[in-house]
Amino acid sequence: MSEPVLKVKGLTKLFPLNKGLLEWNKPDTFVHAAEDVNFEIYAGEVLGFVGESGCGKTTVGRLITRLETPTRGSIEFMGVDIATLKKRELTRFRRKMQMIFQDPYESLNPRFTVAQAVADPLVVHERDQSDEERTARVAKVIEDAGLRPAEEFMDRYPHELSGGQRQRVAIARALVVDPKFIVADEPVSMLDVSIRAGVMNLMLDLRRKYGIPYLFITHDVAVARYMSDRIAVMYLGNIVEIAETDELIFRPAHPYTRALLSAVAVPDPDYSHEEVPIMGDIPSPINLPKGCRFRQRCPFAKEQCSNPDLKLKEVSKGHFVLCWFAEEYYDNIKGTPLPAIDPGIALERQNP
Amino acid sequence: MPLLEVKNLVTHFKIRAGWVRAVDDVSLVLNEGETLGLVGESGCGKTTLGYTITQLLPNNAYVIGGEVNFNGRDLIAISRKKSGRLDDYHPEITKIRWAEISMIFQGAMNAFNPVYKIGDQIIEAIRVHSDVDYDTAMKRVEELFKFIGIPLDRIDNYPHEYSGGMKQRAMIAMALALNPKLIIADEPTTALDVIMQRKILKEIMKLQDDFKMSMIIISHDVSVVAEIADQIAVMYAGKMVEKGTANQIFKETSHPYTAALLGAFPSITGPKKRLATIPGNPPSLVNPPKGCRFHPRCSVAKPLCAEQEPPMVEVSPGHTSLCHYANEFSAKRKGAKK
Repeated sequence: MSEPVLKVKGLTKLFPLNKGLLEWNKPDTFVHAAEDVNFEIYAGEVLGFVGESGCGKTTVGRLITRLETPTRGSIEFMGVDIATLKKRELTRFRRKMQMIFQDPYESLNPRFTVAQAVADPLVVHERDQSDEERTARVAKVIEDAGLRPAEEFMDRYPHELSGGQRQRVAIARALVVDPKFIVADEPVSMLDVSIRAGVMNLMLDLRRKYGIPYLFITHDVAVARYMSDRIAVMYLGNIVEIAETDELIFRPAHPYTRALLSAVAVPDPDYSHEEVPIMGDIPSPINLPKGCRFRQRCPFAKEQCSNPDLKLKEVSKGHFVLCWFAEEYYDNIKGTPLPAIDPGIALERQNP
Repeated sequence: MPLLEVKNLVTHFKIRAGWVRAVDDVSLVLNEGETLGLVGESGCGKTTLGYTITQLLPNNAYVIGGEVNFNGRDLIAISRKKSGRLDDYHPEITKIRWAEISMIFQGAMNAFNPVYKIGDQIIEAIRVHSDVDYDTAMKRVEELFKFIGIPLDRIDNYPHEYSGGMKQRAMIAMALALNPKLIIADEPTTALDVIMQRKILKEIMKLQDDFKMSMIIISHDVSVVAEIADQIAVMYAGKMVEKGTANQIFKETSHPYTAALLGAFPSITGPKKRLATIPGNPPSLVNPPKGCRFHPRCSVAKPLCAEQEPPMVEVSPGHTSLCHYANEFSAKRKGAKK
């Protein structure tokens, strides 16, 4: 059993809300963006984070890359807790942890050529590299990202590239410093279908080639299933369920996961959906209910659900659910057969 | 007689670099009570086709040819000027627009005017297109809000006080306001989260059942269209490449582009397989490739495809494909499945 690359414990981020001048004696209020989030990522693994907008999945991504400072909790990366490190000390870890953003039209500087954009992390992190070494490295990752031949792309500006090509540049830029870990925040949601599949396959191929683990954040459950070895479902700042991908897709035990999955559109006109009723809209993350945060919308909620001692329960090996009645429900579905995994994209990690 | 019949429609945009051939020789038929799903990637002309039907085109758009027969009248012939531009404010079209053909716009987030109350905007739409007083229009708004499930005390709210899903529902209410015969929904669920998407799709399906309304659903998402459309039309680079019932498109695919598009979609059902990718990028519509517009990216292209524009081949009754080798292609796919 290998050590996880990243170990997150009790990660919490509360964004304080501004108080008006006349509200000085009112209690402080916070947006609970992420609360008590725990997970691990192993070498070569893709962990998918899914959830609706506002559930905190992007905040978790920004916290572990330390673009935000957590309120509480620890982020153990390469044996060091980086949650509380100051800017200087962080630099060493930053190069080992890269991020790919959603919008390739905004995340690339329009005045940088492809080569400049991709070389930029090296300029920051590899100061004593010679120009030849740097250019060779940049050319290599550009080709790795599927932009071949590299010479043809290196002197182009972002406006000369299509959306898919831009996202490949963003991937090359993340790869160039040889990271140990990549956070990809909705990297394919802006791309057209025919381009999207190519970028997803590229990311899977790179993971296979270099064994880099990803945290893959997406709102699209089908995309998460395709990309991930394991999936974590977030709801209002909590991970409500986490399990191996097909275990979660075919044996979902949390009422929210079930509702989410039953709502996903399926490209098959004959498919009939399971009906999981779910009430109302997502409540505001400011004044959260005590106990289970889903209980007001949950069709199966009971009195016990307001008990604040709710903890993730392991219903089967590696399958955790944040629900008082998880085991009861899981007993009914644990026999559901899982589809065979195509060897072309089978999981290749060395963990328990 | 079909409710809507689009015949050989050609809509081009004039830009500095030349003409953008956004819709090029497209035909379709929609019967009463039917739902047509129009799918394709961004820039394939699906939205332009929708806007040509409602005549809401920007002023560099020219309808070069074709007919849009709605209820037995050619709407293009009514408002088309000599230059090819359409007269936006032609009185006959104004009477039909919204009252008989309405739209659910893409991105409901921004479709409402932020400085007017939602209720007032719907009332305005009602009163512009029909001759009723304020109170009657208000009654109608109340009815609509009851139907789509927004509490009546929210009628006087401004758009920023609504959530995304509520705005989308209010947009649907506005489209329904005058009981139109045809609704064109442009990406009705794209900006929404999955659970809200399912709710809106269900509401749209309920509409079809309750009012026997005809609809055209424009979407880039094959799975959304699979859920609600009876008929599906696939567009690529300004051309309608395949048309048929939902089952024909999904189960008896006969155009290589449709097959590639379906193959590029991940699903949460069935075994996980490596997705097929389509090489290259969609072509520029200013200079589309000669012959078949898909041939540079097509995995089964032959020399003929680069030279000659493909004919519309009828693969089976009601199922057409714009491909030289449509019959061969669908036979091969059937063989492969067995």
